[in-house]
Amino acid sequence: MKRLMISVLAAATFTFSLLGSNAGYAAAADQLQDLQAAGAGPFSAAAGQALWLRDNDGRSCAGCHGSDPARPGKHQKTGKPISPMALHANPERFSDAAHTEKWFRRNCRWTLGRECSAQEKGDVLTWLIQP
Amino acid sequence: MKTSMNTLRYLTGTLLLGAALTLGLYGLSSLNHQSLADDDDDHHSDRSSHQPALPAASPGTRLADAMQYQDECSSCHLPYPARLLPARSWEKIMTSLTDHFGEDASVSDASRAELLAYLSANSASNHSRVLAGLEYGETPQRITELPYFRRKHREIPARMVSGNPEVGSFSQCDSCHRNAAQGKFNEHDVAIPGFGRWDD
Repeated sequence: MKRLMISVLAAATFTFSLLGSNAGYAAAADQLQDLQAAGAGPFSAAAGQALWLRDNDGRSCAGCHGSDPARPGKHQKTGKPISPMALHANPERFSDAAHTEKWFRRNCRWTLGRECSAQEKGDVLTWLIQP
Repeated sequence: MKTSMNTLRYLTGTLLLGAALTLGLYGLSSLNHQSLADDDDDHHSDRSSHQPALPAASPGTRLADAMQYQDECSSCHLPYPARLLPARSWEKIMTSLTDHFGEDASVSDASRAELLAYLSANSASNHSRVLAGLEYGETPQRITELPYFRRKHREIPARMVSGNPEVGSFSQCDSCHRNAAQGKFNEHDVAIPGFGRWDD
């Protein structure tokens, strides 16, 4: 009986830890589905990376976040450190869809001078959540 | 004889218990009446609204408000203490977030209202020394523009700040004020990167 209890506990702990580390992935997958419902897709990680690195009159995603999203970035103006954007390097990313949307809105406006399309967001998100 | 004594004991016990409970209830209800009586007294004065025993926190003064400010604004920069600008400045800043010193820092309308309530409630009061030398008609958007700020930093040469790659500008309080994130700007905690402690 005791052994059964221990194995049940272990299984529960394992499941919860798995759920915890996948919260960002699950939320991002939901968000990708929403973007697809908005008419975008299929999404391409390569296109996401290209957009990330593209220079727009001296502004780019990589300018603050760095060209390797698994590494921390640094705000160009304030110098504030920015934790990595790649999900595998920072499991807390993308767990809150509203937060993700807010930063897409702000940063696309600054970097591109306009909001990103559903396709662009989907491409970048696909690139950032790949293992 | 014995049976009748027992009945008597039982009756007395019931009566005493009932009396005790009634007295207790009466006490509780008179407490209520007392507070109502206080309210009635208020009606004689000009105040017509009922004053709750514990007033609800006024807007922007809860711990959650401070935490929201910290969370929302420190993503990009040090959460500048609200007490370092007058309320009119915070209002101007919070109504121009789409162009926040050249960046888009827009938030939802609900968040904006809550953040402004926090900033206003904690802003520099009209008689704060932070506002010394500032005309009432002026609405500074940068703490570094305040005459108070300039006076406090007039002995710091440019080469230690704008000419110092580790600092860059006076806006990076925490480059030198090591406890700035906790809202502490004591001169004794200052260490300028590349130059060391600053004590005059």
